[in-house]
Amino acid sequence: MRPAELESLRRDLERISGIRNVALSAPTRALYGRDLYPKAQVWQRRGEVRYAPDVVVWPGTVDEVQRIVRYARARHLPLTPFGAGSSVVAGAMPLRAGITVDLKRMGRLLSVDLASRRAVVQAGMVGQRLEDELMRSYATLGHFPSSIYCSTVGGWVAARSAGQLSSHYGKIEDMLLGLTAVTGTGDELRVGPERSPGPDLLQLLCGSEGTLAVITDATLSIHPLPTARAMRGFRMRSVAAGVEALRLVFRAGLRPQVLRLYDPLDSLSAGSERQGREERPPRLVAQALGRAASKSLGYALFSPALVNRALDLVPPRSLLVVSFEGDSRATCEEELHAAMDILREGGTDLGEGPARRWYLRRHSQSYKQSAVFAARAWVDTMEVAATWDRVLSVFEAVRRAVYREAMVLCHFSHAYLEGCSLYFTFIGPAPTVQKGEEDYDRAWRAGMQAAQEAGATLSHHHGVGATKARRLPDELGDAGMRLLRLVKRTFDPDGILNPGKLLA
Amino acid sequence: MTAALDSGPAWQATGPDAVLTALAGAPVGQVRFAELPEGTAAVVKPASADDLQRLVSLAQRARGRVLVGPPRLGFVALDLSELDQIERPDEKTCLVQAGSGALLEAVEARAIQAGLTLGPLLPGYRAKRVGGWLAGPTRGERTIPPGRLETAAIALEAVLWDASLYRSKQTPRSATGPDLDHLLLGGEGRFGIVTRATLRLFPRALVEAAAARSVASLKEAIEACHEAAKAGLPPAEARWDRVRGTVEARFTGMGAAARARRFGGQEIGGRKVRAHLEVAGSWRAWHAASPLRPEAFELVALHADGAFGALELVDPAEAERASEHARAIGFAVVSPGRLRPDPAVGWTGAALPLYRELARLADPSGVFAR
Ligand SMILES: Cc1cc2nc3c(=O)[nH]c(=O)nc-3n(C[C@H](O)[C@H](O)[C@H](O)COP(=O)(O)OP(=O)(O)OC[C@H]3O[C@@H](n4cnc5c(N)ncnc54)[C@H](O)[C@@H]3O)c2cc1C
Ligand SMILES: Cc1cc2nc3c(=O)[nH]c(=O)nc-3n(C[C@H](O)[C@H](O)[C@H](O)COP(=O)(O)OP(=O)(O)OC[C@H]3O[C@@H](n4cnc5c(N)ncnc54)[C@H](O)[C@@H]3O)c2cc1C
Repeated sequence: MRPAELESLRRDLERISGIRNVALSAPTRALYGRDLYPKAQVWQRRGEVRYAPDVVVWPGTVDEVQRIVRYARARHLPLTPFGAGSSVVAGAMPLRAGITVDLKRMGRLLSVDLASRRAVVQAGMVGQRLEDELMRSYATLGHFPSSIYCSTVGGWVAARSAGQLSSHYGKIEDMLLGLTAVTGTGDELRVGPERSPGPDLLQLLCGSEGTLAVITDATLSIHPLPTARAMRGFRMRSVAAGVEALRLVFRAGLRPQVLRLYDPLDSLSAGSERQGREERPPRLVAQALGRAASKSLGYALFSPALVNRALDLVPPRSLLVVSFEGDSRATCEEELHAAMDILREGGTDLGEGPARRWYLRRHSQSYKQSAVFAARAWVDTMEVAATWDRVLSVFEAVRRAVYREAMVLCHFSHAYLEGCSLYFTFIGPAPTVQKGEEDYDRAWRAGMQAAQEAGATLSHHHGVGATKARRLPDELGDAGMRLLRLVKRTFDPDGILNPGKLLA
Repeated sequence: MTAALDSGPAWQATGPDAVLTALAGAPVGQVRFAELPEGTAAVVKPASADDLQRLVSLAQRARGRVLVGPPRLGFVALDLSELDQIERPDEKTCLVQAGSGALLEAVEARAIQAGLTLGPLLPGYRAKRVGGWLAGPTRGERTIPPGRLETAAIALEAVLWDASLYRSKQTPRSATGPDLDHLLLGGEGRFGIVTRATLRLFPRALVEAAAARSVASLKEAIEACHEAAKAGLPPAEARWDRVRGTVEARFTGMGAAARARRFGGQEIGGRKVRAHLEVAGSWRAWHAASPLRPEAFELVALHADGAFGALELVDPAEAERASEHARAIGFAVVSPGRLRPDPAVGWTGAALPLYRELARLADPSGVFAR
């Protein structure tokens, strides 16, 4: 954009949202040019700015959002809704520049009604602040993504987020009772919280990843804050025994808040088990999995295939963490004991310790990425889901596919009566930036393809963004893609909203 | 529907045997879309999704209109009862695949053989078909523990306006964009005809407990149900009866006995069923239900915001009046009477115009238009 055009853009947007709420400075634009897509961290380390919006604006009201969208539409400017930029699939990156609309000024909890179990929240509210405020009313949303400190309600709804306690409370789409949004034509629409018979428009807007509308508020179901908890760690004989236990716990009608199984390698990284002598990981692996990645991680991983072979020697034991929360200690205990009867069939009771440690460190694990990049290695995660009949084959297929490029860790969380999600972490060496990027791309492609071919969905809770958009046709099929385009054309006829995402 | 038919009669698509009747019009086997405006309605019974694809493709070219439901002027009414195959329920995943023409009671019978169940269904639903259950107003929803609504359909197959076959992936949840199944769920056939669905079943409860509590009025009965739903893990079913002056609740699964104890008192027996008004509504609507003057109610799918239910009326002739009144206090009336998505409930601003536009785009030639 030419300087004169930028200047008029600034003036026009300032007229809508005020002088203090529009920015075009280079640092701001660079900051909003990336999200937490791992490769963007590599670019940033190199000082590369690959994408940047022309301008960032912070609207304060729905009316301002409407005016900004109409303005962008009239000038054919791309518009990217931005929550907190924690997307790991390049969902919030402005691929075609234009206007980035950061919703964080619309960050208030509008109402809490615990009696009818509803809260109305503005889209830009950051997760932890929401929980803090709900807590004052002795309520909880029950949505605890690891990114709770750096993600917003709008981002959750837009990307179909899942929290750590989803086995009990469900994913964000299960909590969504209503929303207000501004479409690509600048029209405001409201759905819910009363349930209309017939089609559920909420489920079309949920997961729309900024491509159909800018979400401005959401009505979410809330729960009384639990006051009691009963928890346990188990060492399961094998991954298969662990997966079967997850299934049987659900089958028995139990819905624990926490139910997570770590594969042998991830069990070590979770570090929650006091290891006996025979369970100590090989030194190389221990180094690679050091609580904070050591400087020599890249060297330690010089040959992922070799490391993986060494890892095959790790005893196949898997850590399982289970916890029930509620309003009475007795009920939690009763439910825990019912679960323990099932878990004992496939594993050994380790007491409360591992579960306690899990609670303490539940949000810290995910924030180690930049340390890994600093240590001449790369890391990324891939979260998929499958029905129980396919879970183990997806697990094996992905490990096989990425064996040469990266060390593969996996945990199984977010369970349902019919299946669960598999959360893979890939860690590979990056002796040079270029080699690292090549291996990264190859590993990612191979892993994703293997998962899809084994019957898993493309994403369970990170969304599609830009990085998985090319694989979406395999997921939805031709007819599904046609329907999706049609929905896009209806909500955003000029295609200004978040171009390049979902629909590549 | 004045365009000439350029590629043959309906039976070319489905075979002559599938064309059941042509009311007040051409004889069986001779139904032409182009002849329908003359007051002819036809009923066609496709034997497969393939048949249906060909039929829709033909209808499109001849600018004909197709619907699932009773025969209507100018439409080809589909009878999907041939699409009634039910696969063996999978005990491991608690899933079953069924054709959209399968009766829910038949699905339930198969489920029970495998130790599974569709869960509590209102009386009128037992005779419904899978397609109508899912495409109808309640979207095939039931409550799942700990007390939230979820549709029974985990994956769908449907024939779209362009005769293509849509198939969604069978996965417990996903984050792969908008959930497109929701164009078909509750869509009343506007976006396509459901031919097959994979349905979620529940394990049949190993633990069950029932309790009855004395109540003085419908109002008190609703209060008791609302309380139980709010506390999480609501009863699977609840019924109230004016004559008995009790509300009875059946709890299943973990802690059923404890929850039943918390709910009320003594054991209870069965009773006879009369005329029903089936509704879906928020607790606010339920709290205002007394003027409908029901003799009894039965609630299923109790959740924090409301419940589906059947109101039992003394005089079946009262049904029309009661259903009008039910709408007025915010209920969605499932039966008697056809239910249309009611924009007055829950949709404001651009929601309805957008939905209409979406339906128009999804069916440019109006094959599924009403
Ligand atoms: C360390 C770490 C841990 C994570 N852990 C989890 C986890 O446990 N569970 C989980 O689900 N995810 C997790 N994520 C991913 C990420 O936090 C989620 O995708 C989250 O939902 C994004 O929220 P955000 O507010 O940061 O959105 P952004 O990253 O800003 O945006 C994400 C997408 O949503 C769109 N969007 C944002 N706000 C709006 C709006 N108001 N209206 C319309 N569209 C909008 C954007 O355009 C973009 O397409 C993690 C990420 C990191 C970095
Ligand atoms: C020959 C014939 C005669 C009939 N006569 C009568 C009659 O006299 N009175 C009467 O009330 N009904 C009549 N019907 C209709 C019939 O009772 C049901 O409507 C039909 O069998 C479906 O029943 P349902 O309860 O499963 O769905 P319904 O409750 O009828 O369907 C609910 C909604 O979903 C739509 N729908 C249903 N199935 C699908 C699907 N597979 N895909 C997409 N949308 C779908 C419907 O169009 C409707 O909008 C007749 C049907 C036929 C074929």
